[in-house]
Amino acid sequence: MTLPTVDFLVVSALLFAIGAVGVMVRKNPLIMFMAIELMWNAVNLSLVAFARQFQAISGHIFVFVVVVAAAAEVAIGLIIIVLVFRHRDQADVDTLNAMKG
Amino acid sequence: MNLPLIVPPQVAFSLISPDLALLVTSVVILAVALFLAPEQGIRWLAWLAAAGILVAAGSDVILLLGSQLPATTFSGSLVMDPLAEVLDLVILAAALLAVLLAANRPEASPDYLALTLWSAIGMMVLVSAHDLIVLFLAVEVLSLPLYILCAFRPDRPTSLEAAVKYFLLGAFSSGFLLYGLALLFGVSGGTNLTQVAAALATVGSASLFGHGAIGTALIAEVGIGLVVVGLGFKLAAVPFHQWVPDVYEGAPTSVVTFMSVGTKVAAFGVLARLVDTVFVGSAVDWQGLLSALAVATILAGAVLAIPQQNFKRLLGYSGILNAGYLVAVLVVGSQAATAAGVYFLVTYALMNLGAFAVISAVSGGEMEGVMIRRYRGLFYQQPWTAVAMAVFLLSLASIPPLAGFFGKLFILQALISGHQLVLALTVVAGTAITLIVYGRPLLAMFSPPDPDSPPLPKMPMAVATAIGCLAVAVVAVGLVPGAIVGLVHGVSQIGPLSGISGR
Amino acid sequence: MLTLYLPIVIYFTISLLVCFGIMGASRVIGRPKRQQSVAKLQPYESGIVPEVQLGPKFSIKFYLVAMLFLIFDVEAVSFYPWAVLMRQLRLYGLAEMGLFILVLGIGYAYVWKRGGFQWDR
Repeated sequence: MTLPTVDFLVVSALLFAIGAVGVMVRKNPLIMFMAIELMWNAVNLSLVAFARQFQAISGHIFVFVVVVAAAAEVAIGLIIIVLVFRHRDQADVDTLNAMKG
Repeated sequence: MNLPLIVPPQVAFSLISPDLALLVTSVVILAVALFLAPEQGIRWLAWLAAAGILVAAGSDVILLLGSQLPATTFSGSLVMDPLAEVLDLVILAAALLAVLLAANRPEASPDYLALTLWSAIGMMVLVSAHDLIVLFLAVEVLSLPLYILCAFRPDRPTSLEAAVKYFLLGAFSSGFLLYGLALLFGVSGGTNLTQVAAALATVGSASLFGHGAIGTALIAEVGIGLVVVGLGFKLAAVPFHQWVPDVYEGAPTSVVTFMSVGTKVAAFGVLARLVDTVFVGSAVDWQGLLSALAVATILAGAVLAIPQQNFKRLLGYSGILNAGYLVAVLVVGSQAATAAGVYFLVTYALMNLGAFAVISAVSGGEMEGVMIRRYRGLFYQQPWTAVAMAVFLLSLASIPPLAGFFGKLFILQALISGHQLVLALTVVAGTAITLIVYGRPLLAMFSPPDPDSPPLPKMPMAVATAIGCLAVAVVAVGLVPGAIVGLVHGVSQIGPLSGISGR
Repeated sequence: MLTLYLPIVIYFTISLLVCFGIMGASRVIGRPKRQQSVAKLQPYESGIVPEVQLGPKFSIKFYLVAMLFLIFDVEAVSFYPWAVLMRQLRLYGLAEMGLFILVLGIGYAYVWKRGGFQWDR
């Protein structure tokens, strides 16, 4: 017997919510970025669950594309955050306040 | 598990020739740069990029004039219709101006040119996307280069700050978009927009996969909401509008010039396609959602723009405001409304590109140069620059008979004929407030100059030509609005798909 | 149906028990907080109290190489589906993959030429 699809969707929604809250409450860009990755991977879980339900291979392809895009996103995000670390002693979004209004 | 038989898609290469032209140009630029020293030959490479963009624009025009359109390719996952091609032209114009502006700046490098071209490819694919996977991939292809481009002046702290903010919010909103797309896939079981539209047309109280608590209508509604919110980030609409002023202020001006127009065009194009193919036929209340977003975006943009002292920030809030108009016109959901939106986008692109080109030329890369007080007495130092800027600002403030006025007028017409009176009133209110917003820099330019202000930098010939062309275009489009109205109306027939989606 | 989740429930219960067990044990066996001196509670018993939270330090070079590896590693994943379906996709798939490798290769050459792989720069 296999688990019903809806269960996967609920777990996925929970993971997504945890990630979204993490982005909003955390200050360190690295941690925020990890939370964003959690959101993306929560979506991947949904996609795989849907793909299994429909027996549709397009869902798997979607996940595949998301993973590749996420890797590129990770590389770019880390480069930008490392640049900030290089130019300041610490990276904290609260200290990124040169621009206001 | 047996693997399904995979059939290679039929690809009509002539249909994607604009995208191919850009791709080949970018790869050639990188390949040539391999044999050059880092600082050498950058002007030559910039001209190469400009030539590639012109070739792409040329093949776009050939497609528009030819009889191939509308057509689909890549097994129906890309659709090439007049709407997509016209928006492609606007995107290419923005990319061309970005390359011209950057040619004499410290940010110019082979990477810069290649990244700009890649981002433009992403935008062009996005306006043609007819498949959830392609849509997501295009959004990423357009965003990822922009994140890097924002950080292209690491010597300036504001550039890095802009990049971090843009990146974190962008990835965050991409998460929402992705979740929305996943839910739409979950309702329909297919990724092609035609399948999604067919599934959304029948959603009702039926429960999802036999589970009592979750109805397909709810999933569809949440999915549409998340997609709209996620794409709203690219359009600079509320609730993901916070990045706009900071990124506009911090990122290099040439990058802002490109992204302010390019992302808006791409996001509007894909939203218009979604509205036309998926939303209109669906049993989901998408109009309420878009109306709320539009009103919030217009009011936020207009009110927050008033106290700005920095010209780029001011144009950032103006960008939010104009995103609001675009969302408002989408609420109507008719082809005439889409045509009004496209017309508005074309005029907005002309005046916005012009204004940023002037800012770039006047500031000469200095941080202080983008403050509005720096524009005091511009008319007495560079009269023609001041006149061009006045044309752009008056057009942004929708003063007749300039192009911006007609853009706003057609949006109002579309809203009124679509019985969206509240939205129409909000548009009028937003326009009234912007008179104050754009009036301040206008007055500054024509008031007597500050005696101890430093002399303005010399303007490169290519930039001066571009500014001149844009100013003439704003006036000309305003004087002869019919010329492009006809074009745009012919153009806004969205694809061959309206028929398929059962409207 | 719910019995499917039983192993997970047991797993969670055990980990919670272990967690609270250890915390409780240290409370019972260890000295209570009020009997400890203030110095004991500081991160360093002598020396300067850190002003910002410090993580472990990595060389910046490490990030650059790791990210380049990550990119090429994940892009290489795209080869696997093609390898499985190579015969079905025929010339189209081969040409497509050739283009993919060409674009990837030019990116690789560009990174190489710009010194992205030099460890001691």
